[in-house]
Amino acid sequence: MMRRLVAATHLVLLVQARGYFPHAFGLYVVMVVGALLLLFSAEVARLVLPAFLVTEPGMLGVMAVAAHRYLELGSGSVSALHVSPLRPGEYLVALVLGSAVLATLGGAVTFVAVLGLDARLAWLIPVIFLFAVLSGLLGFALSLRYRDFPRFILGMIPAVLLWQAPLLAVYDVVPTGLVAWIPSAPGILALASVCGGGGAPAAMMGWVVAGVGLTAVGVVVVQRIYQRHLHSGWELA
Amino acid sequence: MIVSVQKLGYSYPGAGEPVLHDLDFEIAEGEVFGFLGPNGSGKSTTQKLLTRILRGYEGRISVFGADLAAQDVAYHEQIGVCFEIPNLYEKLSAKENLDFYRRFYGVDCDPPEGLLEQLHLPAGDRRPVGHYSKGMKMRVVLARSLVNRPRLWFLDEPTSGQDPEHAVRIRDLVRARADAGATVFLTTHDMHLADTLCDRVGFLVDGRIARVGSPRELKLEHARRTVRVELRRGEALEARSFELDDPASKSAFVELVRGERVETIHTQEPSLEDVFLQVTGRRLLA
Repeated sequence: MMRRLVAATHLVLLVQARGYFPHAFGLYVVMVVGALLLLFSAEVARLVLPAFLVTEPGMLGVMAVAAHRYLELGSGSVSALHVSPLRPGEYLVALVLGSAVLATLGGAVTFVAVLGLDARLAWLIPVIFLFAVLSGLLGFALSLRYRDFPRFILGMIPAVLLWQAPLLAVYDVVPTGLVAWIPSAPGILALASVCGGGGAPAAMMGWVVAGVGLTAVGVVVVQRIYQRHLHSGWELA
Repeated sequence: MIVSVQKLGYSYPGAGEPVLHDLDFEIAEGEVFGFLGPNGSGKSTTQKLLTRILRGYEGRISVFGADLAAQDVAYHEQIGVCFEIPNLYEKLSAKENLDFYRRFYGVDCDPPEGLLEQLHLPAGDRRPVGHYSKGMKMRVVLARSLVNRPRLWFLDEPTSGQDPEHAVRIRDLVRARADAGATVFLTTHDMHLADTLCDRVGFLVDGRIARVGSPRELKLEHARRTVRVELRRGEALEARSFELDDPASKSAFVELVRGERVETIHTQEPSLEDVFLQVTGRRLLA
């Protein structure tokens, strides 16, 4: 299983690299960092940093996974994967990991640009990675509902807005309890905590464990949805 | 038998009408079995069931001596699938496409360079396959389906987009693999390919198998035992037909061959396309 997963993740990264995915992410990061450094004072930049860090995996991560899926559906290459020993679950994980790597790099660069090289980076990286994986799972699940990318973009807007709603609790617009049920809440609250000075190590570890648990459940749930979707037959050439 | 299908039925989820009805057929080891039918007859659905892309069928499918429903990853290690469309990673080279694909396999695989050269593709070419012609892309797809040296090889219109020279090479490659022991499940509209390559063919119409047999057997079964002769009389070209089962007609034919200037003689066996039409009442390419 590991051999297939490593090969599939490598394939995803290469296909994304040749499809200019890192360039798109890079451009977005440059724009975000530029805005944070040039448009805001250092204090405001620190304040709004969590919102930008959430948006990178929370929106671009969702879109990257879906864009990759629609590329594969358009060329039919996904059909070839499904008649190889690669399991649908391994394909799902590889795709999500590939996009999470980009989102994590982008998040780390944004964080360093605003806060400098800080010990909190050690917490930020696992937290943003887990959040990116969860966001990728959301993107994958949404891509199963829509047959093409334009329809996906329209359909994802309410889902992504809801996905990022825990940010409202970060800025005290709504009580945390109101958004705590959303699966993205632990990741978003943990990101805010890291940017705001970092919580106690035990609390941070709690966020990471919760993120791992949610990711595991998310993989199982999305994999089941995907299996059912595959057996409906429309995805494959 | 490598493949044994009994009473196979299938309906797509949410669709009312079944697309396959009680299919029964078997394929022996090393056999090239052609599945022929018009668009929408259920060929692709049957192939998707046999390659385990679709599940939830009725009846029984047994492959390599075991129930298909109970097979796991090991099943896909032993099959190869050549699709009708060039479903490649367009921004990767041909070698990269094959290299990544073979890394999914736990069995011994053939090196991509050898497979590409066998199909007259430049193994050292670093251009993305998006720059290739359709025929070249299809040959990369064919090469990819061979990386794991499949015991059971599914081919969907393998000569699609090929010029006559490459079509012949592909036909020879398929024959050579079958002679070496691979079993081939071929779906095609190309009656000439089916006729020259398949040991047996099955006619599929509206999700039902109308007939299974060898191309020769089917053609003889539906042949009129008639000979058509063209002869030259002065400037005029005359055509005459003789029934071989009628002694008087047969004698007349022999006399004519002895005494006249015959230009052409043709037995009147039907083509596989004609047999398909006679058996099913449908044309393959509607």
